[in-house]
This record gives sequence, C-alpha cells and structure tokens, in this order.
Amino acid sequence: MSDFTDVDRWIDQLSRCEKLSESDIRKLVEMAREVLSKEENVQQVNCPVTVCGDIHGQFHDLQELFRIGGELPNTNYLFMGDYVDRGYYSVETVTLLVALKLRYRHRITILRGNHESRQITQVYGFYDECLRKYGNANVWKMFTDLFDYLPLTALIENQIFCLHGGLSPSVDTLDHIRLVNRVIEVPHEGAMCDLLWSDPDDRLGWGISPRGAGYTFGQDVSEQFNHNNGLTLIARAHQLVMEGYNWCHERKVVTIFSAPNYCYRCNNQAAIMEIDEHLKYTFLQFDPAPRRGEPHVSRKTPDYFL
Amino acid sequence: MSTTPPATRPGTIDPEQHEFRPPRKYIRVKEDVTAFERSPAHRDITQYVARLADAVRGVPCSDVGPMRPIIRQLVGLLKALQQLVFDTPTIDAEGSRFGNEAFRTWHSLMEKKIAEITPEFTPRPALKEVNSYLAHSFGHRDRLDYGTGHELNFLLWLLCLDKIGVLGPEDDRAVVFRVFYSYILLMRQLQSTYWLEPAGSHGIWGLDDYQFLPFVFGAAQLDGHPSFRPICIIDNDLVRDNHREYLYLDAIHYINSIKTESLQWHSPMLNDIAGVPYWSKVASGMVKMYKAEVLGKLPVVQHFLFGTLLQFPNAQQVDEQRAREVAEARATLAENAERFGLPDGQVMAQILGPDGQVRQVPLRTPEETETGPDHYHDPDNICCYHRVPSVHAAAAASGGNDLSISDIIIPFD
Repeated sequence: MSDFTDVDRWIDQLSRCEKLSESDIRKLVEMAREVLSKEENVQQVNCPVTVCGDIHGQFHDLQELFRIGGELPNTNYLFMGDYVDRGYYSVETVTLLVALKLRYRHRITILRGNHESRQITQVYGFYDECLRKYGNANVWKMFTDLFDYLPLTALIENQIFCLHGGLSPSVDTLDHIRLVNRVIEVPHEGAMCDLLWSDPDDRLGWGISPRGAGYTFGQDVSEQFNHNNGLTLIARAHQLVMEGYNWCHERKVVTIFSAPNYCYRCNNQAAIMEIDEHLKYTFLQFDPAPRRGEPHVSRKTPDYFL
Repeated sequence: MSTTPPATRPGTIDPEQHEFRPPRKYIRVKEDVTAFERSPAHRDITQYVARLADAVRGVPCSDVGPMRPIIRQLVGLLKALQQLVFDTPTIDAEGSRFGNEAFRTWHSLMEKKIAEITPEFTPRPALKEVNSYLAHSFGHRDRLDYGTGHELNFLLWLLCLDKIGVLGPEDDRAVVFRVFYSYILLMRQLQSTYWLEPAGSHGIWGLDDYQFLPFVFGAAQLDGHPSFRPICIIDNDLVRDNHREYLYLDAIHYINSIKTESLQWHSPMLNDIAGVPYWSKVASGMVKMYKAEVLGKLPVVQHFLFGTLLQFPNAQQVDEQRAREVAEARATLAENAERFGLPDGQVMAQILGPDGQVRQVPLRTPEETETGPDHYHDPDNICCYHRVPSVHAAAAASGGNDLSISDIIIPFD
C-alpha cells in the first residue's frame, strides 16, 4: 500500500488554491515521473470516463469542472493537455492535476498538450508565472522536465481515440504511435509534434498548418484513420470553441475546450464529455466560476519599469 | 477625386526615383531577429515610435493642433473600412468554431477598398510595397485572429508613408490622435463583430490580448500630468471621466468594458504597472517592453515584411541563397510530379514515420485558399514561411533529444 499522507496534504492545500513549496514540488515531481513513465504512448482507458480539453491555468474553472463533472475518485477523468499558460494559476492547476494523478492513478489520465513544453511555456506565461511565484525558475524546470513523461494519446475501450491536437501524416496506425520515443521536448516536426499540434479542417487531405507546426487534416483523413484502427471517434482539444465542444468531419471528430470565458474575454462556454459504461456520450457545458476577492499575488513592478 | 502627391521633402525618398518591390519575410530563426535588431530598419521603427510618443507627450487628445488634408484622407480610408464592417454582417454558420467567417469577406473587401483609395495619396510606384503593410494590419484572413504583429504592420504603413514624404513630422500628433486612434476604433469593431481570436496572446501575463501601442503613446501623453499618477487606472470613475482625452485611460476603459472580473484578475501586468510612481517611468518602460516583447520576439517578427523602405540586412545575399533553395525545391517538385503522377507544383512532404518508413504526402498549402493582392509567397518548400517538413528534419527530430530551441521557428498558438 502506498502512503498517501503527503499527497493528501498537497491536494488539500491546492484545493484552497495555495501553491506547494518548492521542496514539495520536487517530491511530487519525482513521484509523478515514476508513475507517468510507466504509462503508454497510447494509454488504455476504460469507461465510464469524463473527457476534458484545455484548462490553461484557469484554476477556479477547473474546480467548477470537478463540481459539474463530479469529484475524484467517484468520477474518472481524462484530460487532453494544455494545463498551463495564459491563465493566472498555471502552477496551482498543473500541480493539482499531477497530485490527483499520484493519488488516483487509475482514475485520472493526463495527456500532454502542445503547451506542456519548455519552448512554448517560455513564451506564453508559465515560465513568467513560476518566476513570479517562486522567485526562480526551478519549479518551471521541474515541471517541464516532468512534461516529457506525459502520455501522448489515450484510447477509450479501443474505440474513442483521445489526444490534444490531431492526426499526423506519419502515423497510419496506433502501433506507429506506440513506437515513438516520447520522453523528449516536443519536437518541431514529426509524429509526436503533429499529434500535439494538428487541427481538423473543412478541406480534404493534408494541409500545411497556419500555426507553423503540425498539419490540418480533412474528413477523408479522419475516416481512413478511424477505419484503419477500428475507431468510432477522435476526441481532441487545442482549439477555442464557442460552445465548449464542436463536432466536425460528420461526427468523426469532436473538439472539447474546457476553459470558459477564455482570457476573461472570449465569452465562450466550456464543456466536458461524459462517456458512460455503454460508451454513450453526453456533453456538460459550464460557465466561468465567480472569482472571489483578489488574486493571491501582490503587485510587483515588471523589470522594464524599474 | 485625384490629388497630386506632394513634392518630395528633404530627407525623404523620392518615389519617382526609387525602385520599390513587394516586401517579403526574412526572419526564420533567432539569429535573424538579432540581425534585425541591429538593422537600420529597426532603428527607424524605434525612432518613429519615439517621435510619435514625443509628439503627444503631455498633450490630451483634444489638442490635436493643425491638420493637413492627408490626415483627413487617411482617416477617411479607415472610415470607409469601418463602413465595410456594417456592409458585411456576420454569418450564422452552423458548427463554426469561434471567429466568424464573414471576416474573410470583409478582408477581401478591405483589399479592394485600399486598392481603390490609397492611390489618391500614395505615389503609384510605391503602392504595392507600402500597401502590403496596410493590408496586413487588420488580422489574419484565414486564422480569423489579430494581435500586436498586425498592429505593428499598421505602424510600418505609417512609417513608410513618412519615409516617402506623404506624411511628415508636422503630422505626428494628428497621426496618433486621429489616424492611429481611428485604427484602434476600427480594430475594436472588427474584434467584437467577427470575434477575432487573440493571436498569440500571453493571456493574463501579457499587457493586452490585442494592442500594445496605445499604451506606449498613452503613457507619453500622461507624462508630466499635474495630478494623475499611474495608480489612477484603478479608479474606475476617473478612467471613465477622462478616457476620451488619454489613450492609456481609453485602453483601460475599453478592457474594463469587455472583460469580466477586476483589473487585478484579468490584467495583472497593467495592475503591476499601476504601482510605478511616475508616468515618465511607465512611458520609458513601455518603449523598452515594446522593443523586447514585440520587435524582439520571434513568434511576432517572423511575419515581418521587409522591402526597400524597411530592409533586412544583407537581403541580397539571403535572396540569392533562397533562390538556390527555390531552384532545388522546384527540381524536387518536378521530380515528384513525374514520380507520383502529381499535378505540376503539387507540394509533397517527405516524412519519416516512427516505423522508419519514409512517406511522400501530398499537401494542400495555405495559398490555395489564401489569395489576395497582398499575399506573397515563394513557390518553394517554404510556403509563406511555414516550412514543409523535410525527411532530414524529421529524422533529426525523431533521433535526437537535444533539439536546439534557438534554431527553430516557434510555432504559433
């Protein structure tokens, strides 16, 4: 039996939106590396499970998500990446998800998103947030090193394929994904990059992504991939969608986005997809959780203005 | 209506004696950013920003001073573009993701409109080069997004007009208060009508999702104000009562009006800056920050267009090198076309799969949908500088863990 004393204490602390100390993060990350390194590139997941998209540091909305979807361990969860960047509480968000993974490893799956990367987090906020909250980059370093171990994709009951971005022209079968050495920084191209960066598109075939990484793929590509692999559905995140979820490719692909009112301005709903024991799915939409009081970070003058 | 372009001013380029060319992208890797940062083009931009900021230092918006007819012409153009928004209602598209596709219609109309109106004040030889910047100022037609890189293009358009003598230093104050502010109003209208996604937003960790320059000019305006201190932005009444006179307060007022929760929540950066004691510090800090976060960031300036008015250092050498690459790529395309029976010019990606197999995948390229007079790309393996992966790069990526972060273009998200 594992001893969950530390982990329970951490979860308790985090559920009050209080960050862990650097030394606790070090312990948490070491334990998590053990757990995550045992997972597969295509991690098998059983139903019932609730599938979630981008969170982007919107900690209060993640708590709302658990209120709507049900708390662990009573509800199983699959998160499809992008826990960090842009929001106020990337540190608390990703720490909580990793702690929950440690506590209920068979009940929650956390995949890698394109933002779980050294390069991207240096541009879009997580690095700055760590620096601001811890005074140095150690926590950023520990987490981004851990991100290399996150599984790339998940497969629910051999039928629903879940991943952050989308398909790759170098991947025809799930076995190809199993061959990838994933314990690296997200590369700039190749299968692993595409799985985290690609987007479905209205046009057929493969296209160059305007994002500069990954590809766009058409309905023909999705149909062929689902057919080759005996799949009924591809569930993915990665794109802001107004209703929180969005079907495309004649219901062969669904986009799920779980950060409501993204950046406090987009006015989008968030959604999660509940899959029951008969593989029937229901979408639960939710709005932003009210923020109470003021954020826990005191005013600090950016270097440019000193 | 036709007006004769003014005679060339001293110190400006005579458009009739100058060889223009459509601008193109040069920045691909971090080293290119460094080269750009040391270039006369970079110096010209920062000097122009400083000039505009100085022209409005300590001056409220209503004190615009004398205006030459060119100011009304530029504002008239932006008004015409605004009218196009009214003429282009949103499409109620089933299953649309976020941004409204009617923006693409607006974008095409915008290109036509600027082609129609700009010859009234832009010398004909300069049109193509100078208008490229304007056409890239309003967001990305395909991605339905907008960010500070597009705002930069608008600044570059003004700078080009200044370089060829259409505008001059005596116009600076009116350029900020009338032309630039009209642009900001148009952008707000585009953002709210078509739901343009913030391009590359840093979320709450950035200054603003969309704009930067209103803070640069706005801080200069408040520099030396007898009673307002930077902390005043948290006083909603003060901001509401004074936003018409000060661009900084106007930007805050607008953010407050569209964002939920308080400034502390959605804009901690602006809230932090409110703690700076003097506007002079805010003003100088904004310029430093603009240089670092916009002009110095690869994800932004990899889209920077260089022509003859704003030149990339050693552009000719780069062009020659690129011409060789293009020739090689063309040969490969022709070979592929023959080998795979593809239509001429079909772009193929050579991809190494995780199974060790090399695949040839035919690709659509963005240019197939992205057309328009302002769009330039090379018919090589670098379409719009989105690199088509090569088998070598894929092999390097799958074989090595130590992918050099400094060497690659940062993808956009």
